[in-house]
Amino acid sequence: MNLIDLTLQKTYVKPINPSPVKQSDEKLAPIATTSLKKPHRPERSHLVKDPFYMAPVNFVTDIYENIVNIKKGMMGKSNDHDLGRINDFAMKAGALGLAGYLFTRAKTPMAKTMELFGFGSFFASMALWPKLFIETPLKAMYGINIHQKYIDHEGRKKMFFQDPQYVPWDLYTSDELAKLGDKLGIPQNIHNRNEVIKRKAQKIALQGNTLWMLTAGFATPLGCSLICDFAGRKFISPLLDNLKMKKAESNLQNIEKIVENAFSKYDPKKLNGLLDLYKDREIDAKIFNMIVQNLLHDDDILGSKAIESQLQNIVSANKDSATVEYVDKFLKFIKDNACNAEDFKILEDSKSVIKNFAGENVNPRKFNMQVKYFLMQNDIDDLTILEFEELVNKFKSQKTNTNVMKLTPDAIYNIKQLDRGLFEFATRKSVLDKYKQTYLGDVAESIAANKWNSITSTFFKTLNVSSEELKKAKLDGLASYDILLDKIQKLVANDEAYKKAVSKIQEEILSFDSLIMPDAANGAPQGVKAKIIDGYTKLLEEQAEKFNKLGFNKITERLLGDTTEQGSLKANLLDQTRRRVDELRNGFYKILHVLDCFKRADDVKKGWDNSKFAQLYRNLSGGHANIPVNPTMRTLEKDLAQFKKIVLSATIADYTTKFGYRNPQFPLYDRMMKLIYSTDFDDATVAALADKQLGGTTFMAAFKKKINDTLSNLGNFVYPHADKVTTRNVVGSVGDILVRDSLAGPRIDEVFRETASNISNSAKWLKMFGGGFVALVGITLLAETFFGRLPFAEVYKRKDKN
Amino acid sequence: MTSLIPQINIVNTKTVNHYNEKIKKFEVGGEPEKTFELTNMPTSNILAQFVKKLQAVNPVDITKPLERFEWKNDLKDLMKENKVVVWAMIPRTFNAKDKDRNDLIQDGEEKGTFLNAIERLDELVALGVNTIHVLPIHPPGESKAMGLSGSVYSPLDMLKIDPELRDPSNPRNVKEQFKMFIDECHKRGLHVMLDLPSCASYDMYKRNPKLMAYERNGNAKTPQGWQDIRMFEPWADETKRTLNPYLLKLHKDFIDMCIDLKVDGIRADVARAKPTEFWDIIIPYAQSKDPKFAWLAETYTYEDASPQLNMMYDRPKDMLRSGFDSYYGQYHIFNEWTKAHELIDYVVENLQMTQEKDMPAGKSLIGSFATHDDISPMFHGGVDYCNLTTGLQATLPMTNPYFVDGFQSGDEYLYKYENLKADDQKHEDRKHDVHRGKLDLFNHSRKPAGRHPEIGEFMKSVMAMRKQYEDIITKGSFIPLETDENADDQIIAYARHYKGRTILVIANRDVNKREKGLVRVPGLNKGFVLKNLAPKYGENSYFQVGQDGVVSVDMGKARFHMFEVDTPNIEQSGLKVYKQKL
Repeated sequence: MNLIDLTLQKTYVKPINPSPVKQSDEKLAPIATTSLKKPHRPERSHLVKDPFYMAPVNFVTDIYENIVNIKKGMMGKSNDHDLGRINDFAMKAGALGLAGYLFTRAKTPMAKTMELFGFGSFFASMALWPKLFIETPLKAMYGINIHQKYIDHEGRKKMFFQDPQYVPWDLYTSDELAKLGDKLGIPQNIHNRNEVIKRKAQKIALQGNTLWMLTAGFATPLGCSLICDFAGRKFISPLLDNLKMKKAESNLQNIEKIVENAFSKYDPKKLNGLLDLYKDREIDAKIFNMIVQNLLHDDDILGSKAIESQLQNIVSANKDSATVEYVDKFLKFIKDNACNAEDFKILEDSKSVIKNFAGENVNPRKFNMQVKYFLMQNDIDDLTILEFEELVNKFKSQKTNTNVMKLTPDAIYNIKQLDRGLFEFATRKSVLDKYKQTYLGDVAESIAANKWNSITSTFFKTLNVSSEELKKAKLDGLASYDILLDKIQKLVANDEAYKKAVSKIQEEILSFDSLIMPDAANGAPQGVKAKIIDGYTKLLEEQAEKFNKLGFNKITERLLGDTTEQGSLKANLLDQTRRRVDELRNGFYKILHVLDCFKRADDVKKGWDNSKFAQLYRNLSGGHANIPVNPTMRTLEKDLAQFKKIVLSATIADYTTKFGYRNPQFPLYDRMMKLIYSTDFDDATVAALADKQLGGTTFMAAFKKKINDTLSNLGNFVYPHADKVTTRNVVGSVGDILVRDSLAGPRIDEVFRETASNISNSAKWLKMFGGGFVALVGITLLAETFFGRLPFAEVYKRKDKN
Repeated sequence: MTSLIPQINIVNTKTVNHYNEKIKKFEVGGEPEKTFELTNMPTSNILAQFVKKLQAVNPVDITKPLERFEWKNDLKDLMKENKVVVWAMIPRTFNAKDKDRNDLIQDGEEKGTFLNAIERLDELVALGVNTIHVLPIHPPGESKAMGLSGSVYSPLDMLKIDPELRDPSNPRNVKEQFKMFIDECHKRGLHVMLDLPSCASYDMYKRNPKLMAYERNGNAKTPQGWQDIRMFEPWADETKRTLNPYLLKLHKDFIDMCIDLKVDGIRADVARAKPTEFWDIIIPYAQSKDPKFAWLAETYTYEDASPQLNMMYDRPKDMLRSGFDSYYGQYHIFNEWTKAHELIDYVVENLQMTQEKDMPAGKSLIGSFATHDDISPMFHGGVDYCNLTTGLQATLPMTNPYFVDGFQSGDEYLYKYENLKADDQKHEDRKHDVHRGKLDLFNHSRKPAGRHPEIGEFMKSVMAMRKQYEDIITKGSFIPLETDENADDQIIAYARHYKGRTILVIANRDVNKREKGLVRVPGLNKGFVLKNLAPKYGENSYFQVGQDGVVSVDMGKARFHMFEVDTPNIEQSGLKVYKQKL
């Protein structure tokens, strides 16, 4: 009973049975129409038969048409169809706007990229779902494309089955219809076959589109999230990493161009304005500070003190001129204050020459430099030159009559020079800083951070944690420790699994090392660390020389410091870089170390006499007071528990407090440390690490060095005035805090718990979304097998019904 | 008028019964008996008195066959030459007399009949009409009927004529009365085009299963929205493209009836309900009987603007190719087109269609600005709008003007009884169905008439003007003119040119406000005085011819103007020129 019948039933008129009319018995034969005029299809109308790869082209042309429709709509020339299509465009534009806004709010490149990728994947999911899971299966099952499009006679693209009251079947030739009927399984010998074909096809199209509407709301977000997850992990993250590295390398290569561009845009309006305003005028402290602020270039790395000091020299020094009187005073001062006046006898002797350097308008600083060069030219030794500089500074710091700050033209010129120098320095340094941050930065999505995530994930996977254990580990710190302990012990008990795990982690470490560590020996390209160190060194030395030539010695001092370079910016930067690399590698190696420790400890089960670990334990037990001379299995087992606890969960504080070992237990502490930090690796570890393809002995040596370094520097964990560790006489100091932090490495049980939490969340969502998607696909495909069913009677209409 | 009452001598009851049977046959439009040979006198006094009365009042000799007016049908040629002016009417309301002014013709009031329709024919001639489109004349089905009288498009029997259309004061049967009406039309030079319904009533469907279309589940196919009618089945097997012979026979019989009636042409309702092949048999069949038999298709546009379930697609070109001379087109949505260029584009599209290779010459449109399926044009802009469309119809190329009864006085087709329940016992469960604003097809309603006779006056003048410039309008080229300073695009401007003579049409399609702008008429000399050939109505309009043929216009709301201008070379001026294939 269809809608029409229901409508008919509602009519208020009861049908009157008409009086029967005697029907003629005449039987007439159907009339053939072969020679009669057939309907024509207008030339422009046709079915759209674009192949799959035209989809992106169609996507772009559809957007173009939508834009044209908007224009037409605004001019009042649109029809309903055109206006309806604007909705598609509005949806895309709105989503893009939203993605764009979120893009600006996102903090990291990955987050930014995923905002836009998410936008694209949403629409891709929306387009792909019906294409892959509705249209394609239905075409395979029934031979009908329910999303068939056609071009109407005015050139507009429309959906074939959109309007059930107007389906342009005349675009199909009779052969095409017959073929379609075959695919739909319509019997050949039924009356008016085409009618059944069209009916069934329309029914399938209607059912397919209904199914699409029912499922799109679920499928689109599910598909979108799965696409984003998969693509994000597999493609986007590595791609972004590559891009970041390429950009960083490119910037490093083209640093001159960057500086050139920066200078072309550089316009210190504020500073120039300030200098112009106070030209030839005396300035007070307030103006002085304003100038200093303008010289900082947002990079206080140099410290405002160095700049202040230098600026002081500039603005103060020019009040005095290096007049003849000045020269006399100067030379007298040198003579009176020198350690050995004889060293500067040449100045007295060459007074006339020296006086030539002076003049009414000569800058005293310039004069001082000229005197210095004079001394250097006359082969005065370096020490004397240094003493001379000190004396010059002392002389300058004397209060003079004219100890007033003034912006003379010379001073302004020098300030501008200083500003340019500082700007150039800041620009160059920022390139290196960014380079360093890209690779080594302690920020999300740096290469190092990504590598850490990768290694911890690899480590986690080798432990084969079940989903139940994952849930427990994520929530409960104590439970996660127990699970970790159990898993590691199981892992090390299985040689094959252990070797695989070690190899995987070694691979990860090597990939990092190969990027960071090479130092251009033997023709190999320079690693990141070497590039950073060389870069900083070159930058600082070159810039220091430039500043020096310009007479900005305060700045030079700050950059390079004295001959020891202690406390200089150079020392600071290089040290930071080295320590950061060590910190990273210590973390990576710690995981290997943990595995090796447990593997070594695992052979205790071989028994007191056969176990290597037991042997080591015995060896470490002799010759110390407070250590039993004859250690037993029992004592070993007791110490083993402590051993495992330290390996897995020692904190910095534990290292500092020697894990609770108090005097007189320090020998026990000593033994424990040697047990832990033994380079007599387990055979399985050696076998796994010795794989030539993964670095072989080189890697092994590096690993051993790490262990030894840690052991050697254990003293640095000691508080001041604490007892010495017998291995080394080092008294720790507060200044070594950074050293100990990097040596200790991360706490493995915490790493395990964090990783468990991340993986659990991902697994949970993947299970939910992936499971949901799979279920949806299953239901959809199943439903499609029931499409298009027509009642038997409908198909096989009796020919002689009438 | 000769009496139709037979000279009879009734002698006995048997004869009386026999006579009564014959009267009944007259009432249902059956063939009249040629002679009555009853020789005995009636024995009943009442019956004798009755017969005497009949003889006295109606001394018609119905023994003689009706003499037909000699008429040579040339409707097909007129249509080809775009010279047809059509008036659509419903016989049962055409000259109905609504004495009590309740809009409904009830007992005691005179319904519209063929004979009283003759009274209005001169009125149509005066309006310039030369063709009448007679809406269906068949008795409507009773079951599931709409309104009290049933839709005229819901025939009980397509080969019979509704006896309600018979004037009882005339003894001739209804068919003969129709013939009389047709002859009167012909005498006045009016052609008659009869409507061919596209579907059957429910009763007809029940009686004639071989003609009808069925769903595969056995239900009758009903065009969506029309529950009182059922679809015919034109195919025996659509896959094999074999036609239903019974339906063909019915249509051939209908044509035979038309030929017998001396109808000049057929207006095929919903022509798309039957396929090309069907018409390719029927139309030549009609033309084999009368070579000038004209065919008008109710078909609108290729992309079905009004798709309906169970109704086939609209294919105007196919209809024209299979023999139709003219078709409806899309002028009925003129009020929905918001810009002047849409009208021009549509006209151009049709002219270009005629030039297509497989399109025979002489195909045209009717000026379907308002048909019986559309609401009254009064709702689109009142008198001014009506006049505007009259002017456009009269001057557009390949267009035969078409009007619906009631248009001449601005009937809004609002009926007081709209949707009221019937108050007689016979129709107690029915109501007066009406489509608001449209000519009533479902009830015996008043004669269509409004309160604006000035529309008819304007129409008269414009049709006369069309006649005067017939050559240019019916054969001339169509030249859309450029307009300027017309941001709203409300100025309709085109020229018609034929053998050196040009008429210029400028109209304002906006019914709500005046329109100013410039119209470029190449070759028009500065200072040429434009004299509006169409009668004035509404607000004044102003024109000034400037340099280079630029005409400044300031037109009143919905104003139509036609001028004859002296631009013999306008076709060579560089503007696009379109011609109909004649």
